[in-house]
Amino acid sequence: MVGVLIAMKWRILRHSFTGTKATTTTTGLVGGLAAAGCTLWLTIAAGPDRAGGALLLTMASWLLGWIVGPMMGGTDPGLRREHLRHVPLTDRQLAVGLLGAALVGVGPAVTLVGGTSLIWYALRLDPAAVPVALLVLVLFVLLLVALANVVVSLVGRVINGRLSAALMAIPWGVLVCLGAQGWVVIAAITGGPETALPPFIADKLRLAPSGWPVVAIEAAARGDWLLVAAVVAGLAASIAAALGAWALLLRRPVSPTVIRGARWRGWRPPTALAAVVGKELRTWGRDLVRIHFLAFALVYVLTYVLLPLLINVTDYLPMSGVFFTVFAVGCCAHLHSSDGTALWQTLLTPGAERADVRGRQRAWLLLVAPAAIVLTLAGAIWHGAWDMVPWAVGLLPVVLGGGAGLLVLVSVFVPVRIVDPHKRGSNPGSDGGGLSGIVWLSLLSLTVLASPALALLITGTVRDDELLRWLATPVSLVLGVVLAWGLGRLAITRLTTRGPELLAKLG
Amino acid sequence: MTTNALRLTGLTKRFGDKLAADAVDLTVPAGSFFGLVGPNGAGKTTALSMAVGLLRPDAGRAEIFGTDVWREPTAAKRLVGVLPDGMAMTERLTGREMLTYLGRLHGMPADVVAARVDELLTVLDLDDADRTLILGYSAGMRKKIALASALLGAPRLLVLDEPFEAVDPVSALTIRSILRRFVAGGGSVVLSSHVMPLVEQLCDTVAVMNAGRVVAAGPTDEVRGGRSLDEVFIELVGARTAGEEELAWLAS
Repeated sequence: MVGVLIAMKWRILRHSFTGTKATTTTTGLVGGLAAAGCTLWLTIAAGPDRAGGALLLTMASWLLGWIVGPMMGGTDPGLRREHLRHVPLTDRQLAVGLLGAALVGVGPAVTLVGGTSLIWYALRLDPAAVPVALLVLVLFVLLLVALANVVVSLVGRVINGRLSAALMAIPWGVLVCLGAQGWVVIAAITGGPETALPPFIADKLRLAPSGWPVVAIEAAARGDWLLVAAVVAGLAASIAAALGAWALLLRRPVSPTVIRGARWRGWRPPTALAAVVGKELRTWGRDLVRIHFLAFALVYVLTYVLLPLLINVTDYLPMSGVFFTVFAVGCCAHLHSSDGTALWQTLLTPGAERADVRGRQRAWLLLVAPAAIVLTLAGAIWHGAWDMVPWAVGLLPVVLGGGAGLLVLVSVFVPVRIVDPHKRGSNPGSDGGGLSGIVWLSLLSLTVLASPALALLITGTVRDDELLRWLATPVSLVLGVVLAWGLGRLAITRLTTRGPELLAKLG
Repeated sequence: MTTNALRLTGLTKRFGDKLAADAVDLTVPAGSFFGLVGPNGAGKTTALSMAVGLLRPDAGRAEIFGTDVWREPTAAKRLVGVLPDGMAMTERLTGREMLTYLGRLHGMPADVVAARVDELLTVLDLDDADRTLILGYSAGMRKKIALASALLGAPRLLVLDEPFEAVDPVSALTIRSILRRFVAGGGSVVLSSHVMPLVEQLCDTVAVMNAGRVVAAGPTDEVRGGRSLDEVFIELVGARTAGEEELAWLAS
């Protein structure tokens, strides 16, 4: 049975290696290999006293990546539970089979490559530990894949209303931010990457499942075979537990969430533009994925600016509005992709492209700008000093305006195929496309767009020139308005001339 | 004076190795009730998508009442209402909200929109589901709300891809009478379907597509030649039916 599903997944993978899908797969492969290379380099380059600590950290980040990654749309399982609904299989058989199928893919392959650093580590300690390293490496990859699938199924079950969609963003936002920024804390505590990982952190990392392979190898090198056996048993038991949980979650398919519209109170939009704004605002309030993404941006940024409080740094607080806007662009720049083939309704309405683009921009600004302004004000008051205010005021207009422009431009130019809303499976966790690429693209582009204001601020700060720093504000305002209008104009032109091509990419 | 509601000349579309539409020529006279039939994968949806401006053809022309769909899209789109098969809609709106949104997007006055939406929802029996988002609609309700959005702009031509699929018999009767009345009032309808008896009953003109080509077209009675459309269809597309010997293991 597992063999059949593995063969099936392999075929799906080969057949889906076309167009955007191939691009995202290749990007994933390159990114994954880079991460694997980093892991190897860190373990091989680190001195003998630090290799263990480096390995503990990198293994922990692989664990984090596997838990968070699939939810951020990093992987597409290809084979879904829905496909096998009518095949007579027990839940356990199904879980084992799907686990086997999930092992065929880019993620497990690059994890396996990165995990070879365990073998290096074993070679260095004692060649006798190498067989143990091989065994725990395989078990560890199995555990990661099983855990990732449990998390995806669990999230599908938990996100069943607007509130839970927003609340679920809290753990994700904090985890991802810690993954990206956690080194700040570690660096702050240890005093830099030159020193070895302090024992109290290393001890905690050894307790996490990601630390077990390292523990097993170290124990084998010491000849403590009892501990090796205990760790191997622990890994095997965890895999079994994860599979059991997965089987349990597979048993009862999630019933789709029903969101009700508001009672009709005579909506009469005065213009076509107002109609699109109304449509967008209603969609923002009813689409669980959109709610989740926006909440994610908020949680991420709050974690990002509050984390430095641990080391008594409040300088980030006034920038929270700017950071939130930047992340909200990345998290929302797939508007057309998430609407899917509904684009036909816009394309078949004569001259609707302008209203569609401008309406989406306006609705996003109505949603994000007030929150960004409140965050900026609150952050500035908390910080209590003037030094960051020119930065916050000097960047907010350009990221709001430029963001509103970039949002629709990316949405129209970089379509990502996402399953149409009415054809999605019961699990919102398994239907996302490769959206992380869009997030990165938006972050980088927005930095470039804001660079004139940024340059003034940096020069002003370096030269300690108050005038230069405040000059960033009018520049930012003009730039924001021009970008919102100009990039929107580009998006309208593109949608008007190449609308059918966009629809073909989304269908 | 143009008398053709829709005219396709040499419409061609290739997807990779597959020629989905191979120089499709089709003429739909104004005021006709036109049925497009063909087996799965014959290219019906491809041809209709190219005809209304949703899929850019590799070659060929599509004209709606003499207006080129690909050269003057705005003018052509004003004349046609479309019901595509299986596509998403603005899923997070209720039916009434979506029709209101589309009506205003079309530039129709707010009062006219409100009145037409009311009437369409009542006639199509969708007015009970006032708080249900389109996402929560059944397959049949989806067809009906899509038909309502096609009718909303009072077009002169309706292009409907599989309008009766998954629709219950009562709703099907309603839709048929709406379409008959539309044609009687001077409108033109093009619909695609798998159901031969239905096409035979409704349509005065038919075309049969197979493997990307139009293999027969003309007044329904002429194409039938005294036989049933089913028989003619099977003969035209060269279909085979399962013989006695095959699938012998089934229920033996």
